[in-house]
Amino acid sequence: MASTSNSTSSKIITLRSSDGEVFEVEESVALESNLIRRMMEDDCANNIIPLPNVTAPIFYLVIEHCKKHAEMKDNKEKKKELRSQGEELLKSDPHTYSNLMEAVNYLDIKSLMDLTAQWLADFLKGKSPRLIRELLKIKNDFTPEEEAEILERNRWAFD
Amino acid sequence: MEGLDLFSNLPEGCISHIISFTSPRDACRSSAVCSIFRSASESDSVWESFLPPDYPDVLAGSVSPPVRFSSKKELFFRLCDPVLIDDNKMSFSIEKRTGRKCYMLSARKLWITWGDTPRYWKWTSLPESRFPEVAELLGVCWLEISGKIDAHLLSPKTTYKAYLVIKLGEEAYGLDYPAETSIKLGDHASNKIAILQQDGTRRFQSWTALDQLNMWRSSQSVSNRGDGQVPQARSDGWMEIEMGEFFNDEGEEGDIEMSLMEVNGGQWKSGLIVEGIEMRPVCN
Repeated sequence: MASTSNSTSSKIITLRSSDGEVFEVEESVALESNLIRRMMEDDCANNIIPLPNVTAPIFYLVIEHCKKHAEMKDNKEKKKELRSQGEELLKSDPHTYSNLMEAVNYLDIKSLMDLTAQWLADFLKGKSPRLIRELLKIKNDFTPEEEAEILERNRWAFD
Repeated sequence: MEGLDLFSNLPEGCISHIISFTSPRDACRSSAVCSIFRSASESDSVWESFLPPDYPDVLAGSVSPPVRFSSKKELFFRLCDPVLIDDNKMSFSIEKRTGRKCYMLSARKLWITWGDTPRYWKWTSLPESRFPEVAELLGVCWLEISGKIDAHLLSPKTTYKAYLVIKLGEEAYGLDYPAETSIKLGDHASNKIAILQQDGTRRFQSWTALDQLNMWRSSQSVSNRGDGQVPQARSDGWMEIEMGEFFNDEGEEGDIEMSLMEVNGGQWKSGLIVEGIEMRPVCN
């Protein structure tokens, strides 16, 4: 059992990832997730809360970033540091990034949603569509005609 | 690349959220990545975030015909072209790359010394002006034009430059003497020198010793402010001359006061046509 808490005073919530790993998380951290909050309100609080859409490695990442995010409040340096980590993750492992984004979206965690969205937004800035596709392994699903039309309609943005 | 579409499991709203953190330019570029990015980047939520928060107030104050739009993206680009507001006395537009606000105060919204005296200034309409009226200088010695705008109206956390938008009539003269411009906002003041007419001629008089002394004094007093500004061509057929710049923090500092003055040269001036004063964000 993985414990992500070292405090004994606050309430502990038990969660289970899609691959069966069980996590114990402080209530204050768990409640960052609006999904978990809703589930607890629906009286799942005394049971193990299942998270069928999140694997253990991704859930670790989510918890880690929730904690970092809580720490960085009012700390500009840390904020900067956390913001710059996105670029590295997107370059080295876009797959993990998209899994993290999916998990954050599923768990409905506002603070991490903004952080992970900012990562990709920073990454997109100034890059050409071709480079974005190449780096993020996205398939170009436009016909040549469609693509030409989009480029024509948004020509000012490519000057 | 095939079969590895990383973002196909993310809802479109999620991608829109990401794109709203970029810029109008990046959003347009993103639309060419793939079809999911295209529909996400054209969503109203993205363009709503790029529009100035108070755009409904601006639309409510716009002069007819009403601004029509079927999407926020369309509205955004519609507002990149000036819209007349405040009973035709001001225009509003959006700077395309950043979504920040631009305003122009028409000549009717400015204080022009002697402006109400038909011997000195004439109010006329020109087809190439966005405003119904512009001010044409017939002849003055004392040239003074000023205007102000509430800093709240402008985008916060933004560096702006102000420009006097002008034309010179064919018979323009006496406008080559350095004019002083100033911008004031709270404790901040920026002063510059503007040469309205570069190859100017003076009627009825040649350079006198007094002229030269005044020129020299003027150049001494401004030597720290860099070279004089000269009119630059605009894409709308007018010319503009920079009056100075200011940083609008939270818009809490009251009015921005802008002025251009040429009262030291002593010569008669004529032929200046004033459309207004424009404030535009400085793009990095």
